[in-house]
Amino acid sequence: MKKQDVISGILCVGLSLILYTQTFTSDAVIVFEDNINPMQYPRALIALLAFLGSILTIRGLLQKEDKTDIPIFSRRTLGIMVLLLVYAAIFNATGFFVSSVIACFGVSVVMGWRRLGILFAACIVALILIWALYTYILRIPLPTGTLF
Amino acid sequence: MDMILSALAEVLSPFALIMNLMGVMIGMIIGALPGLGSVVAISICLPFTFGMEPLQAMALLLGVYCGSNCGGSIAAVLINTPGTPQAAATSIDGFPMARLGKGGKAIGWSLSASIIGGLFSCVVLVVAAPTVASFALRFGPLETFGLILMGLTCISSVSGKKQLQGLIAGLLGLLLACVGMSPFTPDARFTFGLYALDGGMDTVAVIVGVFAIAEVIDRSERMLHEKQGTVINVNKLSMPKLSEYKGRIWNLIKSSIIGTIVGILPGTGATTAAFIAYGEAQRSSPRRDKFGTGEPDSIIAAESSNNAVTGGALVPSLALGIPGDPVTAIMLATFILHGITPGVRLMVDNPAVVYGIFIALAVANLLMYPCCCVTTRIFNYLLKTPEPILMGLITVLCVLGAYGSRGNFNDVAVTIGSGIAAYILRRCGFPMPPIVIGLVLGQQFEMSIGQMLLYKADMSWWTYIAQSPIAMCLFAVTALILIVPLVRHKMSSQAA
Repeated sequence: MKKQDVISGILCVGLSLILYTQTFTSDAVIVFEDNINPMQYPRALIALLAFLGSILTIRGLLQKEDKTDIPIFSRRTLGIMVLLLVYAAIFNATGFFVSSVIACFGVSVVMGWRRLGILFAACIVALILIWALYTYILRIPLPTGTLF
Repeated sequence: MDMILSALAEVLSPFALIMNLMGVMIGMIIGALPGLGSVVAISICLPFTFGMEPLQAMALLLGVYCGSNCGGSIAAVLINTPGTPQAAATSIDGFPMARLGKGGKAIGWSLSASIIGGLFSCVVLVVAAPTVASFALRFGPLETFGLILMGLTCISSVSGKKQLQGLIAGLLGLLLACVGMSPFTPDARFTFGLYALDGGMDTVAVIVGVFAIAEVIDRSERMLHEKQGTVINVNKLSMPKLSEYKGRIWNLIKSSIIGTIVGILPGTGATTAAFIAYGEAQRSSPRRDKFGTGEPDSIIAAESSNNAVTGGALVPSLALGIPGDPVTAIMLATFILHGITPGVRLMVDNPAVVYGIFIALAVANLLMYPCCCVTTRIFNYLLKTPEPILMGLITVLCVLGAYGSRGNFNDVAVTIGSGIAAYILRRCGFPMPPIVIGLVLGQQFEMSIGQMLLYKADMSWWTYIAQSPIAMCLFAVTALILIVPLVRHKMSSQAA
């Protein structure tokens, strides 16, 4: 059994079920006189997704497992994912500078960099340059948050 | 003519020229670093184009496209590790040549072939794109539907051996394009009650997440399993003399033609072009016995073809609005970002931008020479760049890019979410380009279905389709694109 395909297929079918329920949520569906319902097209796509997901599951059940040396979820990948979610969560609240220092520093440490002094200095210098680039050249205001 | 001159003036204006130069330099540096590639390079640079004029933005991205194609070959020659997949064929003879102490010469051959291949494809682009576009202007709703359907089938060709996963990824892209307001009625779809999603998924946020953020997560573990090769020091680039081209010109032209044609075909890409041209050179070169020992013919074939893909790939994108690969899909997304609608009317509605793109592509190819000289000199230092710090900075740039596209915090969440989801999908064997192709073509596809249904009215489907020979041809080609790989797969499995 090819576990990845089976799980992916089941997830596709599950996702299509969730999305299908969402095609009934709108109360104000306006149907054109030519029968163009805004939900018809997504429903067709969802049906196709569920069908292909089922095929993937069945095929996965019949195939042999491929072995790979690199795990999908390891301490590093999970660490980076958590850091990214934290970055997204604090980006607006703490502002660009604090959140970006945490993200840049954190990603580098999780990826194995241990010379923290150099890393901190590199992060600060690079982020000041990025801030200047966005503020003065691209003229895109960055969130300042409560802590800048 | 006026249009061409005005486009020329705009491309050669200081800011556009600097953007083009920076694009080539950034592309070359990212391309030279093993592990990252053209798509990641363009995804990182895309957010910087927000404040720019459309042509300046395209100059930057085209520079990155050409630069990354060429930069990958520097790593292929000097450390026997291709910086980009398309440079894999270059390392077959480039690295042995460098080991013989001719690293500068090998990069010189690679660079000159890249420039000539790129310029050749520019000429083809200039001739072919307007011709195809003027033909496509006759297209009605049915033909447009057929055309977009054909574009979507390139999902099948970019998926390689993972056809089923590719189709699912393409469907996910099409569904992502459905998020937000319906194009026909004022109904919000798949917003899960979040008003922030009423405007739909920001294409840039999804692209940056799918390619760049997913790459950062992937590299965090993969870098532990990779060994870095020994670097061969090269301080000076040595361009081949004209006399050295004797007996190699036909190989150069033939490989450029192969690259351009492969580029025009949807979903094939530069790697395929490089290996087809390499195979052809190995078959026909009088020096084929020396292949694998440092023979320039092999480098010429690989490099001229992989860089000729750049112009070729832009033909269907500019003339028809059909992206053949993820890079051109991002280019089309850039058009949308700048308020330009890609499609068959692009050349009629925005001729200055299109002619400007032709010129910017040619200029980017010429700018590869100075940029390659610099990159070759600093290559040793580039390889010493600590990857963890680089990845940390790429993460910040990606998130800022997603935020900057609309100044919307929700786009940051979309980028991170799509990045994590894309990483998991990727590791489960799903190819990523179909998601972007589906996302870029999704809205147009739905619109074309709606228009087609309105025009069809009470006619039977057969009568409606039979009225348009062009649409029938497009449907036939679509069917062929889908069936041929399946037949080939079946035949090869039977032979095995």
